Amino acid sequence: MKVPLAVIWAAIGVDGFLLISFTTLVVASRALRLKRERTAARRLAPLRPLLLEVASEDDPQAGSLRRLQSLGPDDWEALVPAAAGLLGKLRGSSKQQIASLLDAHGSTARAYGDLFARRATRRARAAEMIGSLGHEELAPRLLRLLEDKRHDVRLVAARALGQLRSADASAGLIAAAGERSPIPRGVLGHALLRIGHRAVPELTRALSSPDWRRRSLAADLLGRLGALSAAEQLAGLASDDPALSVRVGAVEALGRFGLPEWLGPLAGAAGRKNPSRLREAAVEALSGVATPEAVSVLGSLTGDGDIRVGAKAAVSLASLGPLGRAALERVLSADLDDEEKARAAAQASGALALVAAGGR
Amino acid sequence: MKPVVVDILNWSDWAVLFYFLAINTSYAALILLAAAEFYRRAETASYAGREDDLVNPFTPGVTVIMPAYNEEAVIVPAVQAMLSLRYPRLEVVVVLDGSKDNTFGVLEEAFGLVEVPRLIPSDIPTREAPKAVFVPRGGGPLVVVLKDNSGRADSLNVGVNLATMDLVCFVDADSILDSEALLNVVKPFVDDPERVVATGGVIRAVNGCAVVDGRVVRVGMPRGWIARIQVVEYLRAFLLGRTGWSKIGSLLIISGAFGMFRREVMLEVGGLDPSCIGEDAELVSRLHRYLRDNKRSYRIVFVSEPVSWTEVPATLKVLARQRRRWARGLLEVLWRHRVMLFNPRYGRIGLLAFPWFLLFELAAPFIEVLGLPLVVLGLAFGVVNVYFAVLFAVAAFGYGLALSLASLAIEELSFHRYPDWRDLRAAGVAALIENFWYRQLSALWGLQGIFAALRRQQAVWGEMTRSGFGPEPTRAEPAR
Repeated sequence: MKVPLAVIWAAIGVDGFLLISFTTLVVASRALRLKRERTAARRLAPLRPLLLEVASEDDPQAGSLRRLQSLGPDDWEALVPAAAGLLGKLRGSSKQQIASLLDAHGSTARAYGDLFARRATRRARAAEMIGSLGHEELAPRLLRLLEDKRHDVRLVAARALGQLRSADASAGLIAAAGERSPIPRGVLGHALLRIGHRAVPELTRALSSPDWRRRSLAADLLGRLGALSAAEQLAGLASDDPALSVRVGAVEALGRFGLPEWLGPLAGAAGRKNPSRLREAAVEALSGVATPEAVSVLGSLTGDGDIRVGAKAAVSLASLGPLGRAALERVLSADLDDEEKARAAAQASGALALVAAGGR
Repeated sequence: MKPVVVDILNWSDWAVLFYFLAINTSYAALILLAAAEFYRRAETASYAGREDDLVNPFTPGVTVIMPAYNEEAVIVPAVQAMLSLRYPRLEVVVVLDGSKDNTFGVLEEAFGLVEVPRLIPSDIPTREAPKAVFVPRGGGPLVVVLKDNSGRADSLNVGVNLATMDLVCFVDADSILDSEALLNVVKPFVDDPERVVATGGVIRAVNGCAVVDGRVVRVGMPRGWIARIQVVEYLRAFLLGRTGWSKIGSLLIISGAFGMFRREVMLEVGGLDPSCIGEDAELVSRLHRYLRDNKRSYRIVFVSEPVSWTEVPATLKVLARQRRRWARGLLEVLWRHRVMLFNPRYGRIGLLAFPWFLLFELAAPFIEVLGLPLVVLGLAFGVVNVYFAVLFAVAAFGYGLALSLASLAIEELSFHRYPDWRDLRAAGVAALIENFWYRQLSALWGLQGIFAALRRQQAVWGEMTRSGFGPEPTRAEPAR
């Protein structure tokens, strides 16, 4: 054999070293972890009830709060994840109490400083904590993080801005929905929903943005926020916007408003020449309008060649109560003299069966 | 004959050494990549925003599709567990693939199913159309479809046609998901919605675990060595190997037992291919090919934290069938998409992932199985020095064992799912004994699968014997 024995022995030596190293690593890491967990549990056991007393405002003499404020660094380090975790779930004075604890131990000041730390994880954790604390005055600093070089930091900053519920953040969040920003629409949308009606003026302005992503987000959110003041603009977008996503958002918004005067744009969007996605959205929106005219449009769509549109029309009718069900019964009793009527009858029968079963 | 053997052995010794070194070093590289990824995830877990996804109305809806064939023993708890997953917008579609047992009967009784007439779009052409659709009396996000038997891939395509949500998740009926599994496997879609087209979750062995109400409540090692070795193998090859591939954007396999896809893209590529026995890997390869052909920016991501627990084969007979099927599936996938092999147009898929699977997955059984008789012949002719052969084997197996222990170490540092010290000891022993018979048998079965494919034998899935789940650790296999 040409392979020298020395090479094989060297390989065995390396193998042996690796085997011993990894075995030691497995055993040592488990032993250390168990020890760490036991220590943390021992430290936390007496502190957790005190924290819950503070959080539930069951601390009339503020004794628990004072004790927690005077904890040493090791005990506080063990407690800080639990305290920070509670922050996001509390409101009012309970939240203030926990926030005062974080202040007393310097955690809040550290978070302020860490917002522009070199390490991305520190920036993200700081943004998360500031969002949980609800310090609205820090919105401008968080807005700068929307352009952070790290994706995870940008996401945390967007979520934190939503938690602050600061109207001043609305424009920045909408701007972040533009073409060059990689922050997902869902994260920005949720943040803006949390800001609520205070974001409506900026959202309405965004309907005229040259960037379709911003228009689309704004249309969707104005519908979810019930911003009737934007209905006319939305009706225009539903009919004429060049971007499908914007038209879908506008149609869904009009459906949420449920106003009969916007039946025209919705019926137009449900027209057969339009893309399926828009038509399906329009059919659902028509069920929100729920007038006899809307029922008539939906009835005419049950036999649609696009089976998903037909099914949605039938299910929408079924969800409209007696008026819609009567329309379905009429579809069922019609002569099945062509393919479309046969499809309509099948969809109607399915929707009625679903209602009878107690489903959608 | 002796001179021929001498020639071959002289020629091959360095080649074999290099091959063992290359295959194990490539695994070592994947393990290092996975370790880096686990570290990153641990660092960012506290602010990942999973709870936010639960209340966010923009979180995409998911249709879980469960194909089921003769799953009477496990189907009801499996569906109940799916329906109780923590997820805001969920629909569960169970596709009964012509079961011969009472799978439908137990579902009908448990959920009070009633038939509803339903027109089903044929977005993806299917071999068998649904015969009937059922929903629970009283409502609920469950749909049960009856159809004639046409295989798992076709059943999944039927489910995709029925799905109403943007994302579809394929889950085997005998799998158990952790309650957070959907939230975790959706996370890449939420964080990068424009590029992520598919995600895969990790599969672990449920054998040896205690299951209550369709949830794994206590993790433990199986009792038999066949299943124990698979636990170690799944850790090394699935958890760490796939995480490593995902890290470099070259994930080729998403297990059909737990994978999520953007429905729209599934329709674009025509769904799963029912004629391919490795349909899961074939789908992922087709996605890579299609999206690269169309110059789309995309990501296919492996998510290590959500867990789907599945019963692994506990007998040699069932294991052999599974391994033959896997090898055959791999050959089919590589052959169908051979245009990508060594083709720079397909980037890392063509230049790295496909060649790796060809050289180190498909070719490995040939080298391992054909190498053994050669060594025996060499020993018989006195050409091979016994001392050298033993040392060579120790060196090669030692490297493999070191990789398995590295996988155990990373599992312990990152997830520490096995709480008992005895489990760790059993895993260590399993990693050792894997080298003495399991690997050789796996190679032999792999070779049989490849030859079956080359002879164009009828592909058969075969049946997996289920023991069902319970509060006591499952004992699907006799203790050995």
